[in-house]
Parts: sequence; C-alpha cells; structure tokens
Amino acid sequence: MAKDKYDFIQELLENNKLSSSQRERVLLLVKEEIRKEGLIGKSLAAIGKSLADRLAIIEELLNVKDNSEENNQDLPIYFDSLHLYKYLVDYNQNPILKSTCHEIDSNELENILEYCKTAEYDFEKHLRKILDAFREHDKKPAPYKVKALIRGYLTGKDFKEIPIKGWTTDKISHNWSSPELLQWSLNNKGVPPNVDKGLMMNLKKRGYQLSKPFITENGNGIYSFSHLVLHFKCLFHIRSDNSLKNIIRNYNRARGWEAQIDFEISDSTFPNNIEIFTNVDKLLQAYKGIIELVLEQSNGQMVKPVVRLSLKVKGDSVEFSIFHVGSVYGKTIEDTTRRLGNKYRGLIKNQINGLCKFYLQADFEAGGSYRVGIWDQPDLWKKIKPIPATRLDKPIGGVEHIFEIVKSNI
Amino acid sequence: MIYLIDDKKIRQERDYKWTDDRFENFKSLIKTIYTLDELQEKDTDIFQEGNVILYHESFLDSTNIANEASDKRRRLDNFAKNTNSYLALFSGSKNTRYFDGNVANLPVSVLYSNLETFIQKAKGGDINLKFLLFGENPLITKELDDKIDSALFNTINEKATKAGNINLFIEPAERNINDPLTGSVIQTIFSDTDQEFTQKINEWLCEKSYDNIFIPLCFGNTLLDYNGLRLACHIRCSPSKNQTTRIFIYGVVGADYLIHNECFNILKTKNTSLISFSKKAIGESALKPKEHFSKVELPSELAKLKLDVPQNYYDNHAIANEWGIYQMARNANINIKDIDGFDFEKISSLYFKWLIAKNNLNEPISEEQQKQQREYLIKIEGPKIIGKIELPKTKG
Repeated sequence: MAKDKYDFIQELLENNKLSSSQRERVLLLVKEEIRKEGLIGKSLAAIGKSLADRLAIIEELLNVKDNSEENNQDLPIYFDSLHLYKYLVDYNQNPILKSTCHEIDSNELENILEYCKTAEYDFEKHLRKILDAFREHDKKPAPYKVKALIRGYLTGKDFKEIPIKGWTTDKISHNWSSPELLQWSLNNKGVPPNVDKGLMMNLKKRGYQLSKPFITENGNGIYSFSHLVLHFKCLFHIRSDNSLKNIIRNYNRARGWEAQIDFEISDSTFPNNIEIFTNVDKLLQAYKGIIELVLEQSNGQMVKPVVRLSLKVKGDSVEFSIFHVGSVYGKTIEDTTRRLGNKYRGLIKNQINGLCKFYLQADFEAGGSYRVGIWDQPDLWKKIKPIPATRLDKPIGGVEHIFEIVKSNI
Repeated sequence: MIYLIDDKKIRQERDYKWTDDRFENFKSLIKTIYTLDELQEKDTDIFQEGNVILYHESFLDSTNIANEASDKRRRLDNFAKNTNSYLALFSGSKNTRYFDGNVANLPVSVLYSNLETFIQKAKGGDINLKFLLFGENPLITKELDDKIDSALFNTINEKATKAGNINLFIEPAERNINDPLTGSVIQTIFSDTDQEFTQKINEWLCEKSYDNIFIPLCFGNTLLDYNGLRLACHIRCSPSKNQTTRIFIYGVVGADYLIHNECFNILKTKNTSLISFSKKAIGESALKPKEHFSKVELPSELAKLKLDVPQNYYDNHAIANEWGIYQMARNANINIKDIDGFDFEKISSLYFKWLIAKNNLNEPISEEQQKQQREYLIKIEGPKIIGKIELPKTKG
C-alpha cells in the first residue's frame, strides 16, 4: 500500500519515544494539514470529514491525552459508530472481500476467475486480489480494533507489518496468508481453501483442513478453513442463526454467571431476527463490564441479582439493554453527570468508543430517575460540564445500561 | 406455492444439479426468481399468506438496494411470522441448521439437498420446514447430526495413535476425524453411489494390502443411509487384495439403529466390526491382533447378507435374465465385455457383485471345464454351458 502523509503521521504518533507534548504538537500540525486540504478546491465537507475521521482513529489508537479536564485526561475523541457499521457492511458486500466471509461456490468461483483473469482457480492470485481490495477498503474509517481484527485474519500481521501471534481473543494463528495454507494450495491447484460443499462434490476435492482443529472461546469447533471463514463472519454479523441472544447465553454459561445472576431473557423482548453488523468481541467485552458492575453491586447480598436483557430496533439503531432489576444507582445525578467513574472510562476507552452509544437510565439512591447519555455525542466530558441528563417521569425500577448500535444506513 | 429466490443460478445448476428441467418437473409447486426485477414484478404473488419463501440471504447484496438488504430480511421474517407463511434463509455463510417457528436458517447445500423431499411433502399437503432442514426423517436425522457434531467435537482433544501405513483410513468429505492414526493411508470418499464405490475399490484396494480398513458409518447425501455398511459390503464382494481385510466401521450409533438397514448383516460376517466415532476406539482397534479370514470362507459369510433387488431393474425377471447371461458367458469362458447389449454398469451394483461373490464366480472356471469346452467346441458350434446356473427366485 502506498503510504500517504496520514499513514506517516500515524506511524510517527505511535513512536513510543515521542513525549505527550511532542504528540500534541504533531496533532496540531495534522489539524493544520486538514485545514489546508480543505482549501484546495475539493469538496470541503467530504474531505474534511474523512480526514477528521482519520485523525480520530489516530487519536483513538494512541489514547491521546486531552489536558482540558484533569478528570478526563485519557478519554478518546468521540468516534461515530456509524463508521463501524459501514465498514463491516461494505466488507461483507465487497465483490472481492466477500469471498473471505462466505464459502466459495460455482458462482463465486466464476467471479474470482473473472477478476483474477485465470481459467483455473489460483489461490495466490486470489490472495493478491484480496489483499489489494482490503488495502483499498481499509482506507475507510473504522475503529482501530476492528481493522486490526480483519488485518490479522487476512494477513497475519499488524498494521506495522509485524507478524502477530493470532487474531481475536482466541489468538487464532490460521489466516489467509499462512505459509501452511499457501503450501496446501500448491498441492491442491484449482481448489479454493473455503470451498462450498456443492463445488467440493463437483471437484471431488476438499478445501483446506486444519492440521490441528481447535475450540474457540465461544465453544465452537474449527476443523477446516471453511469453518474458520464462517467463524470470522460470526464475529461481525449478528443474525438469526448467530443471534445475540444465543451468543450472550453461551457467554454467560461459559463464565458461570448463570449461577450468580438470574437472567431474564424472553423471546418477545429479545428477538432472534435482529441483524447487527458490529464487532461482536468488543460488544461482549462491554457487556462483561456491565455484568461485573452488577456483581460488584450485589456482592454480599443474600439474594441473587436479577438482570433483564432485551434487544429492540429503534429507528436505524438497535438498543441492547442490560437492566439490573430492583437496584438503585449509588451516586447522585450531579456526581454522575460531572465525573466519569473509572469503570465507565475504561469501557469507553477500550470497547465503546466507535462501537455504540452508551446510556445510563436509573433510579438514583438520592432520589429521582434519570436518563444520561454517558457516551452518545462528541465533546462530552470535555467542553460541556455537567453532561446533559433527562429526568424521567417515574421510577424505572432499577439500573439500566443501554448500548445503542447502528443497524442500518442512515 | 413455493418461491425460490436465489440469484446464483450457476451454483444451483452445477453444484446442486437443480436445472431448469428439474424445476420443470415441479412447476405447479415451485417458482424460481433470479433477479430483483422478477422479484419486484411478482411481489404481490409472492407475499401471500401460506406461501413458502426460500430466500438467498445475499440476494440483494449486488443490487442497487444493497443497503436495504438487512432491513428487507427482517421484514421477510416478520411477514412469515405474522401471516402464517414460511421462510427459509439460506447462505454460503451459514453452517448450522436453525429453526424457529416458521422461519428456518440453513446452509445452501442442505437446502438443495433436501429441496425435492420438501416439495414432495408439500405436494402431499405436509408443509414443514423440518423436511427442508433434515430431509425425509427429520427427527432421527437431527439426532444423528447432533451426535456427529458432538462426537467430532470430542475428538479435538484426543490423541492420535501411531499405527503405520498398514491401515487405510477412509474419511467422509465433511466432518472427518483429524489424524486418528498417525502414518495411516488416508482417502476421502465423496459420493455414495455403487459406481463410485467400485471405482474407489479399484483405485485404493487392488495394489496394496492393508491390515485394517476404517470406514465412516455415515457419509453421502443422507446420513440415515448408513453408507458405511454398504461400502463394507462392496469391499467384501469386490475382488481385490483387501477383499478379506479386517474392516472397522466407525459411527455415532449402535447396531440397534442399523438393524433395518439392507446391509446390516455385514456386521454379522467375520472381520467386520462397528466401533465408536473416536480416536481412542479407532486407535485401539488398529492395535488389536489380527484374526484369520480366508477367501474360502467368503461365499458362506456373504450368504448371510440379504440384499434387495435394485429398484432400477424393471422386475425380478429382468435381473434373472441379466444374471443368466452373465453366468452363461462366464461358464463359456467369454469375457462379459464381449457381449453386445449387456448393461455393464450392472456389474458395479452391489446386488450383482454380491451374487457373483457369494456364488464364488470371481474365480475363473476350472482347467478341466475349459478342456471339456474345447472338446465340445469341435462337435457343436457356439458356446456349450457346463455347470450350475443359479437364477434368483422371481416374484410371483
């Protein structure tokens, strides 16, 4: 990939030898650069937004410090989660990249032969096209973590081109650029590694079988490259057969939470048929953070806490609610809107920024019920202080955390 | 009416053999939609209560309304749930069969594999998406499918046994156990036809002798066919260096599930056993001491099989005639391939091979018989048949 000046800036900012003040200085220069680009006749709005997004990525990546408020020094710049949605949907529908998240059938094989300009399937050429398409696709703004996930899956390297031990929390070492896969392809000319069953029966040749099958963190067995490809798809596309409800249930079970918490999950309030394109791994980590809060809150109590989980479509978004029934929020509304606690700060920094909007809706111990947008717009906790809160007409009967995830194009 | 909405016609035809001609046979029951224009043109007909919609999940992804694809799928889902209709979403990115009321999610291979069964059931008024997910016998197939998944999962952390290349390990094209016997010869079986079995036996078993052959119990289009039993019968009935080699059939069910299978009795013959679907069972079996089993014993062992006349024969007279021709030619020391009009594919069928093997006709006729024939030839023209011709009993 040809490096542009923003790649250079990104690399510069990642240099550990740079002090905070030097980084800030570089950032100021970047801002100046963006301003200049906006003046050279192109669409100011479009270019300005795109570059600002890239700046946000860089800052998110580096957790650039903002000294404007001592309390919120290390909060990232707000990153709109719409970017994540678009990045993943476009990946899924990309004419070339879609072959990395679906099995390859005769139709897809025809497409590949056409864009690779070969008469027979050639893995090396296909891979080159995939990597080219990814480099182009990766110019779109998205949270660094999802970019790292896909880069790891396709290249086995990080963005500095350094080989990684594995991608996802499972640290999966198999990827599209594995030497083992390349070697297999040389011995299996004409066969896509993630061949679909029908095409496999036609060719009478199987796709790439993993030399050592393994079990993912969510308990699935991965035996072949096709399994790996379908597993990868499950990491960003939630749908009926990979529903959030089932994912959450498995996640709760794997962590023994079902013994500690009474989960209320009903089919009517948590339907299976809501599709979401998101970073499932990060969403689960954010969910884990909230459940840990519930467990902390309930520590020492005789009665098991009750957590009601629900999922609903709201306009162009989906709201995933984690409702701790019967609980009250321990802080005052003044404190809540003025100081971001360490737990929320960690969640925002590590999971939520760029993934979803984040709301708190609760009955407060000191009285009153409020809805607070903890992370739902730019410049919160910096310029505006206290952050806005809406008083609710009546108590809601507990403490509710809501992740608002973009589900379709706005 | 069933509406099949799939933009991938090449896949439909090449990979799953659903050609226009095949659809034509069911035209009163199923209609195909390949483009967005067709879909929009026929949407009033399609979205009617009671219809069945089989929808390729990525159908809209290459259209100008790709950004609405996700929303459209949810609307389809709601339509099915709210109007007593049926929806099956299929995709090349699904590997599980999932069923929720009148909405199903399934891999594309499963859809096309079970489509004919589903249509036939619908023709008889029995519309049930379970037939689409699991075929003719949904309950037992699902049970079998789950058992295989679970058994396979358990093999991940099992260790392989060092067993060497005196073992032939035959594995199915899908859901195979990874490396159960280190050093063994591994072959993959893709199809479940008699012709394929005959071809593979010729390829794999005629040059090298093995101590053990491991065969999967379930493979091919229908798990419930327990094709491993049939393949074992083929090996016993086909002349090769391994006709009497010890066979282990590894599977997830016991003999009680197999008792009604046509080839069940192969398990009553010498040197053929059913074992568990696990590396441990396979490893232990490979190391068991060999038992003597000679070719002389084969006819009597094979007589234990009770095979049915293949359904593609017109009636029992037809096979009796073919069988008669075969025996006459053999007794006359004439190569069957020199007989005009004889259907040579029949010789690949298990039934025919079994008749030959249990009557010990794979061996050439004796020198004495050949000598007598030469003497007779001087006296009369044409072949003179000496010896027993066994015709199977005919119906009625």
